Amino acid sequence: MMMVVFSILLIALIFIWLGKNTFAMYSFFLSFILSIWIFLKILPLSVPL
Amino acid sequence: MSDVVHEISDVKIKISLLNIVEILAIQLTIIFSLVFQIFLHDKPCALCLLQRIGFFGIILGLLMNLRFGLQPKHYTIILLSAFFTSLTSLRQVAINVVPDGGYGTSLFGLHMYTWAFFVSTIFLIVTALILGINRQFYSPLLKWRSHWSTHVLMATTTIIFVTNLFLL
Repeated sequence: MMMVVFSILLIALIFIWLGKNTFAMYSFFLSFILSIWIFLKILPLSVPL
Repeated sequence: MSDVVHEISDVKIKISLLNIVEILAIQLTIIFSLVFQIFLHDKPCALCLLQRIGFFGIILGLLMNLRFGLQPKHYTIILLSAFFTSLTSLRQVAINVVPDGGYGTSLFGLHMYTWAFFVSTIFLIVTALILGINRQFYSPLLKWRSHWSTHVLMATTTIIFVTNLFLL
């Protein structure tokens, strides 16, 4: 899963190279949502907060 | 009129230089973590990788600023990534906050996740302050041209990125 997020970020970097601002933004937000999902998945929610 | 154009372009140049310095600082942070991983065999955990993702997000926002011009939406990317990095690193600090505890090797008495927390928090504050400078978003008669240094920074970022991808 981590590999997928890094790959999407790399795609965003390639879009920056190519001058595609909007596609780079979309790629970033996709990887951001996925990384938040990973963070929530590894966060033990059973602890008292 | 020309004075106004000159003043605005001056502000844009100063902020672009600051962006370059910020990119170099983040690159140095990631290179440090890669050196620790390769030479000291310090395997990164899931939270460490999430912090790296956040740092790469900050670099992407800064590179967009240099490539496409200074725009508020690029600062959104930087702020979101810095917030995410500080959140994950603070989570890791909270896990390991016990006497004689800590995960992995330390640098100058502080563990890597603590450094990540400091760096990302500084980035949050600095970016929020820079976002308040209105004149960088005015563009009277000026077309944004990316400097050659932007391409060098993109190349170095790609190298660091691919190295990180291979070491996963």
